[in-house]
Amino acid sequence: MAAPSEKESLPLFSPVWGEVVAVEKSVVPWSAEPVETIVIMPRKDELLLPITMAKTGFSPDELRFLLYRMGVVNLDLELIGKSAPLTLIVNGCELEPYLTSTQRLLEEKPKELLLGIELLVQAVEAERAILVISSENKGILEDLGDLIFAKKQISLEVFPPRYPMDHPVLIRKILGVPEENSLIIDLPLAVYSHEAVVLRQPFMEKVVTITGPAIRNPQNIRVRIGTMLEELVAQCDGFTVEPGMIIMGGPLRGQVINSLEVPITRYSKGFVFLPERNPFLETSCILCGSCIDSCPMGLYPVFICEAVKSRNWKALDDLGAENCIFCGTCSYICPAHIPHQKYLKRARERLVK
Amino acid sequence: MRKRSTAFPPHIFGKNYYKSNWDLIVALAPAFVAGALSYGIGPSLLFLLISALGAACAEIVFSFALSQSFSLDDGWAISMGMLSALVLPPSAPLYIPVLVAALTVLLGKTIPGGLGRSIFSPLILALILIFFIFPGALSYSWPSLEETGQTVIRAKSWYELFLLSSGNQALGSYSLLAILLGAIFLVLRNSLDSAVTLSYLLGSSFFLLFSKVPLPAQLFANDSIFFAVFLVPMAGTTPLTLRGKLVYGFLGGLLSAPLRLFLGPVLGIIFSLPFANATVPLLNYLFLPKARSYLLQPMKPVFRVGIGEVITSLKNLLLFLSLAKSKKKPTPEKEVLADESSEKGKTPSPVSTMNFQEYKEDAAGFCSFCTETLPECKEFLRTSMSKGWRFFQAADEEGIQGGMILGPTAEATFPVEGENLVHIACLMLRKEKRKRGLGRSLVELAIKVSEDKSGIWALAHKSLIPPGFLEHLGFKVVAQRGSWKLSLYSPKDAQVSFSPTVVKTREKRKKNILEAILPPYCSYLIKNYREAIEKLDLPEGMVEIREHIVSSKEELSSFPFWGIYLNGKLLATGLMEGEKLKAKVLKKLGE
Repeated sequence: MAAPSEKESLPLFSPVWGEVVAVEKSVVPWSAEPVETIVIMPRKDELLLPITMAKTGFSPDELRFLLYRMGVVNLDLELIGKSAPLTLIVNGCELEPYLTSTQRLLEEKPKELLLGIELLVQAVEAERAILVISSENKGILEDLGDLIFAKKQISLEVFPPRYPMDHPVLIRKILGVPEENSLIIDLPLAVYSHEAVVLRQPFMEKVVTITGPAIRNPQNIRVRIGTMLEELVAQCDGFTVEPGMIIMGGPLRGQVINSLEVPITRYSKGFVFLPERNPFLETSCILCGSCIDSCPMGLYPVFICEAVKSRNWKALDDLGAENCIFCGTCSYICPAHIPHQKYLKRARERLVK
Repeated sequence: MRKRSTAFPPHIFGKNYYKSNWDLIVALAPAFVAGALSYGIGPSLLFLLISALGAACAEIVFSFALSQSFSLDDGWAISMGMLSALVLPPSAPLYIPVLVAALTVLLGKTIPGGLGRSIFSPLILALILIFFIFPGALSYSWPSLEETGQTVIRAKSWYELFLLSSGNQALGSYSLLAILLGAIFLVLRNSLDSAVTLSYLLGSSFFLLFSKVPLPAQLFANDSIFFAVFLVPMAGTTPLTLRGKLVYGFLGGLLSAPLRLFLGPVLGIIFSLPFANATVPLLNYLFLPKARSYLLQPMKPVFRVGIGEVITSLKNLLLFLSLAKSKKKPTPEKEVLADESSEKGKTPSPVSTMNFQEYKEDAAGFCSFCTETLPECKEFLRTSMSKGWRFFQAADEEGIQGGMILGPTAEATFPVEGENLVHIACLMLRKEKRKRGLGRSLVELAIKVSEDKSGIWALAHKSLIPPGFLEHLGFKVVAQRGSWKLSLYSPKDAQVSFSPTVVKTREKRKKNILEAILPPYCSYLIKNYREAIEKLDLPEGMVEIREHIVSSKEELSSFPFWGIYLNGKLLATGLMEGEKLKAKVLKKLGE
C-alpha cells in the first residue's frame, strides 16, 4: 500500500480490504509533530485471500527480499552495519512488568518460532542463532528444549527474570557477542517472518497486551495494525475504574498517553492502564547508594544527576553518562524518588549536542 | 480527552525511604519494651514519649524559623527521637533526651536542608555535644566490659544475658533478644544495611586483642549490637558501595575498641563513630572506579615526568643557553619557555635588530602593519598629532612589526582622569613577534619618551594583555572596574582614577539595541567588530544595530568602555568572533 521512501523503512500493507478515504496529518501521542496517516474505510464484504505456497527452497537473497516486501524486517546487512561471522540473537525476554505478549507467542507458537528462526538464519547466513528466554517461562522450557535439540544451529539461553536483562545492550554483554557481529531480533518478528514466508501473509497483524489493574479483563490480542485502542479496550470489557494513567509500552520504559484514540502500529507492544498517577515527590538524595548498586551498566546515576543539576557538563564524559540505556531501574529503586531518568535524558541531550 | 501530561518513565516505583524510617520505629519497639520492663514502665514511657515529641516539635519549630517546609510524615524525626531516648540512660533528667532529639533534628535535617547531607551521624554529634554541656547526663552505670566477660563466662542464667539485664544502662540495650528481634524485622523488610552491621561487629571483636574478655562476651555485648544495628548503618553516613561499606564497618568497629577500653562501652562507641564517618568520602573515592569518581577527586599529582617532558625541557634549556650567549640583554626564561611551547622551530629575532621610530608629520600610514586603515581612522590619525598624540613603530628588515600610540589624558577615550599624564592607547604587535620582548621594549620606549610628564597609565582588559606584563615593567594596578585594570607607572607619585560613571537615563526602548562602542584609532578593532556584527545575521527587526566611534571622553558617558553592548549591558570587548557573539546575543535575548 505504501512504498518505503527511506532506506531503513519498510513497505506498509493495508490490513483491511477497503478504500483509502484520506491521507492526512494527524496528532499521535508518541510524536510532537503531526504524522502522515492513511485513513481506510473497510468494505463490508471483506475477505482475505490466503496465498498458497508457490515455491520452496529460497536463496538468502530471495528470502531477504521476500521479508522486506512483506513488510516484516529489513535485513540488508550492509545497511545496518553488520559483518560476518554473524550471530542471530532472538530476544524472547520480556521482563517489563505487565507485558506478556512475547511470552504468549512463545507458549503458543514454539514450532512456528523455530521455523522462523531457521528462515532468518538462512536469510542472513548467520553462523548460529541464540534464542534468549527468561526462566519465567518454565512451562514451555522442556518442550522447547526437545524441539531445539534437533536443530543444531539454534542454542537456547535462559536468563533469570531480572529486569532489565531484556535490553539488547545487556543481552550482547551477557552473551559476550560484539555488536557488529550480532543481530538482535525480537521474538514476535521471528514468528511473523515464518508467516510471511510460508503462508505469504504480509506483516499486518500484531499481538498486543492490554493490561493493568484498571482493565476488567486483561488480554493478549492479535490485532490488525491500525486498529484503535478504544476497540481493544472494549474487547477487554472496559475499565473497572477510570484509569489515571495510560502507558504505551511497559511501565518502566513506556510513554504516557492521554487518549484512547491511538492506532496500533508495528512498534506497539502493549498498553498498561494504571488506576492512579503516582504521586511523584522528589526529595533530596539520602546517599543510600541503591542506584549505584542497581545500575546494570555500572554507572553512578546519583552523580550524573548532581552533575546535570550543577550544569557540570564536563563531568558527564568522565561519568560515562553516554552509556545509559534508560532502563529506569535507578528511578524505580530510589527511596528519595529522584527522577534520575529526567536528568539522564538531559545529560544525553547535552552529550548529543 | 484528558489533560495533556508528560511524565518521564518509569511510571511505577519501589519503596521510598519513609518506609525504612517507619520500619526503624517498629524495630525499636521490642528493645524499648525490654527496657521498660526492667526499669519501670511509667518512667520509661514518659522518657520515650517526651523525646519523640521533642523531635517532632523541633522539626516543626526549626522549619518555621528557617521557613522551610517540614515533613513529619517521613518518620525520620520521630525515629530519631525514639533512638535518642533509647541510647540514653533512663535515669537522666527528662530535658536531656529532648535536647538530644532537638539537636539531632537541627544537625541532621534543618541545617543541611535535607537528609543525607551531613557527613557525621547527627545523633552521635548531638550526644557528644550533650556530653560536654551536661557531663553528668551520660553516666552509664554499666559494668565495664572486663567484668561483663567474667559474668558471661560464669553466668548460669542465660535469662540475664539474653532476655533482661539490670543496671542503669542505655534504655534500648537491656535485652539482647529484643534487639535481635528488631534486627530480624529490619532484615525481613529489607531496611537494614547488614553489610555494615556485620562488619562493624567483626571489627569491634578485634577488641579481643586488647583485653582478656572472651569473644562471645564481646559479640553479645548489648550496647555494641544496639549501635551496630540501629545507629551505625544510618543512610547517608555510610559509603555507597558494598566494598566501601564492609571496610567502613570494620574500620568503625576497630576504632571503637581502644576507646571502649578507656571510656566505657557506650561512650567509646559514641566517640569513635565520627572518626569512622570522616573516612566515608575517602572510602567512596577508593571504591568507585577512577573514571567515574570525578566528583570526589582529590588532588592530582603535580609532577608528571615522561620522555616527552624531559625532551622538551632539554630543548628549552639549550634554547635558553644559546639565547643568553647571543643576546646582551637576555629575555626572562619564562618568556622563552612560553615561546617554545607555542611555536616550534622558529628562532626568535632579537629585539636589538629592531628599529624604533616615531611618526613625525603624518600618522595616516600607522595602521598599515596591522590592517588597512579605515577612512574613519585616517581623519583621526591625521589631526590628532597636533593635540599631543604620538605614534611609534618598530620595524626590522621584514617590515613593520609593532606599533604604539601614546595620548594625553585629556584626549583619552576612556573615562579616566589624571593630571599631566599620558596613556598607552594602543599597543599592537604582529602575532609572530609576540613574547619576544618587543612589547616590553615598546613600553620602555614609552616611559623614556614621556620622562617630562609625571607618569604613564594604561587601561587593559584582562583578555588583551598577558597577566603581569605591565607589573613586570614597574606599573602598579591602581583601580579596577569589571575586567578592566587601570595600571599606572609614575616615579613622581602622580594620581590617576576612574571618572565617576554618569548613568544616563535612557529613553524607553521598545526595540533591542545592539551598540558597538569603538576607539577612533584602531582600524583593526573596528574591522573586527564590523565582521562580527555582519556574521550575526539576525532576523530583520530583532535588534537595531548602532555603531559609535568615540572621539572624546564625553561620548562615553553612558558606556564605560568600548565594546559591544546590548540594551546597555556589556556583551563583549576586545577581539570578538562572530559565532560566539551571536550565541551571546541570542542567549541574552532569550532571557
